[in-house]
Amino acid sequence: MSAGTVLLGTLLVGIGGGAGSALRWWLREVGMRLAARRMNQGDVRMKPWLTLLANALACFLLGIAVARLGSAVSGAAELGFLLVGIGFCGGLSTLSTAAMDVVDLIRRDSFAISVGYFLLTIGIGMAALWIGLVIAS
Amino acid sequence: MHTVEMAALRFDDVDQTTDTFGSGPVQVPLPSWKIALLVAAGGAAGAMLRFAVVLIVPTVSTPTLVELPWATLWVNLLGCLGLGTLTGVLEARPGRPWVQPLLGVGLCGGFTTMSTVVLEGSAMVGADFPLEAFGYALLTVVLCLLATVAGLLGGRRAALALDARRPSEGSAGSAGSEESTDPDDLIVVEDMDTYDELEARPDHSDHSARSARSGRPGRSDRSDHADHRDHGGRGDRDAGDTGEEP
Repeated sequence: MSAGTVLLGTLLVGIGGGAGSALRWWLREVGMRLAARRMNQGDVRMKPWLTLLANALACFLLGIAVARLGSAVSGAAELGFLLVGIGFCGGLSTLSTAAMDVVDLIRRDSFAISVGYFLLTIGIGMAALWIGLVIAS
Repeated sequence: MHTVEMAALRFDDVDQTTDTFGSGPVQVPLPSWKIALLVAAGGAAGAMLRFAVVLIVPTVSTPTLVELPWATLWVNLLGCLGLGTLTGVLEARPGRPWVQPLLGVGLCGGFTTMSTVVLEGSAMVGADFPLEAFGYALLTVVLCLLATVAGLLGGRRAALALDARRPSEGSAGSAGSEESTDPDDLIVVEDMDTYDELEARPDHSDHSARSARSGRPGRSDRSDHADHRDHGGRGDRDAGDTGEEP
């Protein structure tokens, strides 16, 4: 990549990452508000599963992006992959929040549920990625 | 021994508003669009940083030679450590309301990534290296959990140690850990010399007692809501939107 491409790519990654992070936050806000309306303190119980939803959605989109744009090594498709794949999906998915959720789960529930949650996140993410790949290709 | 306290502190965004209700300026929650912008800004910065790390530490992964994607691993480790530290600090001394959306949800959340981990793991599986993929996933999970816990404990301890070292500014420091040399905060402390002994306590949840004794509610603690710089001009600027009663 040339210097200009790197700069443009970094900018695109930033735009995608900002949009993805905002969407992740919005998903969590809406979900927690819905859960709070449904049940007592449901918002706190709901938190990890909203992170999981965001992660699964990101993996699904990444599968589509990889199938459509991933093989490109240059040109608009590569920049598009930077925007969608690295930026948006990377910003939408998060490992730190998931790890934080696991720690919260350990504090509140049991250790087994927490470890299961982490494994479930990766498993569902892989499944969503494959579904995205299959749908798009 | 911390668990009950930690469990209570986890609801801080809910509790703070009710907690400080009778003791001066209610901690005004930021409007949603501001939080969204903060998260987006932090996420953009985090994603660009991640991209920079990936550019600096390239990973070779050909079908015959699968190397662990060190860049992603480092990014995730650092992000988890950062979010753990931030959460630990904020649990010990609640910060200004923009800190968590910008640095926590935005920067750390956008910096770390799950989708890339899953993609790399799937690529390893697809390249017929399932054991490596499993090891990579396990390594990521274990290291990130450890980093989060380490950050949580370290941040909490650091925040408490800072509080203990500067007892006279303890409460002012609870508003902004790095900014207790802020002239604004110093004025606050001078104002409130009647209950220095209360400020010396590490207990931050004692708002009602403070406000009952002060008569000038809550100038010091949790004056987070705005970036007011000067003491004198503050009242007429902020009185309207914070609902502060002089």
